[in-house]
Amino acid sequence: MNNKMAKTEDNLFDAIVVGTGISGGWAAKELCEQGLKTLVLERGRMVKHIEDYTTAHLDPWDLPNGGETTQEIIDRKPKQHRTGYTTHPAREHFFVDDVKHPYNEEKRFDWMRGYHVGGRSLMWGRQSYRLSDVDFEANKKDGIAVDWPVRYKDIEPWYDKVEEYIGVSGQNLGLKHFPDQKLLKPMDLNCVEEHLQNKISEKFDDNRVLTIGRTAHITEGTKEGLGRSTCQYRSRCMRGCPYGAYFSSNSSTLPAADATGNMTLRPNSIVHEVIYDDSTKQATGVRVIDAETKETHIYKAKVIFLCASSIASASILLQSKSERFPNGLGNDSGELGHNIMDHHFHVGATATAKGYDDKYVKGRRPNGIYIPRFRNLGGNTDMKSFKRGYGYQGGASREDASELVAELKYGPKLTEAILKPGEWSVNLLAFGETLPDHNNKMYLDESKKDEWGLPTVTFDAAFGENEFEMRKDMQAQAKKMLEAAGYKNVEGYDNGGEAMGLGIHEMGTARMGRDPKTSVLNKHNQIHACTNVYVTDGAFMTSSGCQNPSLTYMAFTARAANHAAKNIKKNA
Amino acid sequence: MKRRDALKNIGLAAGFAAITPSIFSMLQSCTSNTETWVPNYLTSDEKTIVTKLADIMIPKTATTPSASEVNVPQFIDNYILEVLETKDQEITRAAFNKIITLLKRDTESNIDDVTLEQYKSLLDEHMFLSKEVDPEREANPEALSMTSSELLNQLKWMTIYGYKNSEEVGENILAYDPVPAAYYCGDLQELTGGKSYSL
Repeated sequence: MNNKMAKTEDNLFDAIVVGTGISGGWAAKELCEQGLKTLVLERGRMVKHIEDYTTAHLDPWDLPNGGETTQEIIDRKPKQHRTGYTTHPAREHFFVDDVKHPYNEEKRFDWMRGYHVGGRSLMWGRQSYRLSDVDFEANKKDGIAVDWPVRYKDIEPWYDKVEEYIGVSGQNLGLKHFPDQKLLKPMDLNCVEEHLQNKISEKFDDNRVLTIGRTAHITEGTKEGLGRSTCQYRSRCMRGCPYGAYFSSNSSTLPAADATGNMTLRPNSIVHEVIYDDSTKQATGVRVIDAETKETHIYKAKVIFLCASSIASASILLQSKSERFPNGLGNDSGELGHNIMDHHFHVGATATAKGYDDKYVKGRRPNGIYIPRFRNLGGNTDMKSFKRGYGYQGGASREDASELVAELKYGPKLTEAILKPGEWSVNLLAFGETLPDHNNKMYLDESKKDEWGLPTVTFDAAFGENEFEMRKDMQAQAKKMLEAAGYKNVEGYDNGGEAMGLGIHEMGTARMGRDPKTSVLNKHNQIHACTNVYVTDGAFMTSSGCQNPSLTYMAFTARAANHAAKNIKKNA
Repeated sequence: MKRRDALKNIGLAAGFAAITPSIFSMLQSCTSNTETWVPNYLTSDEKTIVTKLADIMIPKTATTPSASEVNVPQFIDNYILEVLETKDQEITRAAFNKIITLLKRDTESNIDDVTLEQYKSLLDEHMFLSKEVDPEREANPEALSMTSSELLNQLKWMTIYGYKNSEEVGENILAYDPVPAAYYCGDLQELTGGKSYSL
């Protein structure tokens, strides 16, 4: 990829994209394909597809300590370690060093992120679901926060476009609140999951249904990009996929942007301010600090896309102060940095499925089951104790050692037990919607600067009453379904809810809305009072839904980029 | 070298390109000799105990190597050093001292004189499984220190973990399937001959 700065007059481009993750990659691709000379700025290092996936083929014995996270890693990444999986030695190099990149917590907030080309599109969970009008109309119906300025029909064609390009596998169910998608062939359920699927359909009369997860993996054929081919079922996705089987910016959108000849990609470029010109009421460019040399640069463009992630884009806007916008660019409403949402999870139930000891699986499926939302959809699904809903992920798998291991102290029988697969366990893990709340916010601490002299982010956000009420039902219904299937050792759990962030779905800090007085962005993701700045990462989310959000970020980004390109051509 | 051959067989050429020279040198590094290796963390007595216990827990059989043959003691030594927090290292060391005392009932004795039978008795008498009562813990439920039984159980867990994550067991004893290329449910015997997968 073109890694060097193209010498353009006055560093002038048609478009600037800040960030290279799920959203930035799509902005880059669409803007470049529309013929715009586009500068793509990434604060982290370069990661080249395949070449820089240095751990992609390592087995546990190729890593020290069987791949256990060492204290040395934890000392540098104590916050990133809070997930329990991001600091695994095979993938920790894709997550930030907390010592180098500090943030502050008035309330605990688990901010998991990676600073490199591709961003979290390299390490994402890949579950890909659409929002529906149940989601887009929810705030209006409930009188909560503000109404989305769009409806499903506005976004539907963009979901189609994105899915056809990236490749999403799964099964359509024809549910109004859980829209059908452009899907590649579904991955298989295993035999225990098929049993659970049948039992759930048989024993519940509220239309709840179990299906295979819809995941951004190629399951048949190929897709455009750098040699993208079908999934090999190794389940080492977060290390980067050498087969390009799951969607990432690195394998797909950035190569497409590069192929146009219109993209200039500049890694190690920390954007900290959008420059506003009061005479034109437009932004003129961005200020950048080189992460390595600390040199400062100004780059100019006709249109600027902030795709730096919900927290980082809000942070850039809060730093972009001018006479017109003393509280940050686009912050007339006072909502910038507010209404942080994440999905609340780590609640559900587990069980043991008996009678399948002679069954096992081939392959490691990088995907699980999905039970779409079945609460608050009208009729017998409506709940008094909470609004909105949740879905379940999880699935069934065999433990990797016999349960006899616990009953033996030593000898050949112990060896035999550790080499045999154990019992089938089933896990239903719920992901719930979080209501937007003005009190949940992030702001900048000017007294605590990072090594580039930039203010650090402080979080002050927590889950609320609606989430905690919902969690009771999330656990109870998981138990009910596992019990209805006849499984043993059904046990509920609730290990979360104490802090936001672990869903790694932080969103909402520059919400869309119809009224500039109560929202930051309009229906095209433009800042109301500075329309050549678009924010198309999770910051725009007006409500959270309970679905994994990346697909929605991609669809809105593609739509906004085409809107921007059309405007530029019109004014040319 | 076997490991290198296995990697050569992995799927697409594109995937192979991700293997860097530094990883090759790591894969080629030799395993150290069981008798002569110098621990990074364990004391000489602790090394002896870990080695003996690991081989009692997982002895050599006609078809499977012993724990020490796949370098489990070295694994445990490094694991305690690099993975455990400092305070857990201290707790572990203190518990080792209890075990050393139990084994060297006669304080004059040398740890090398402790017989296999004495090690087995230690496990029979002082290691309690999860469903059993550990009297040392029962006497002091809140103590932050580790009981003898808790250390023996920890060593058992580390022995199993090190054994299963060794190259020999992972590639040749367990079912090794680095690039499955498919996912489906099937018959256990047909898929793996009754073995668990290593990955």
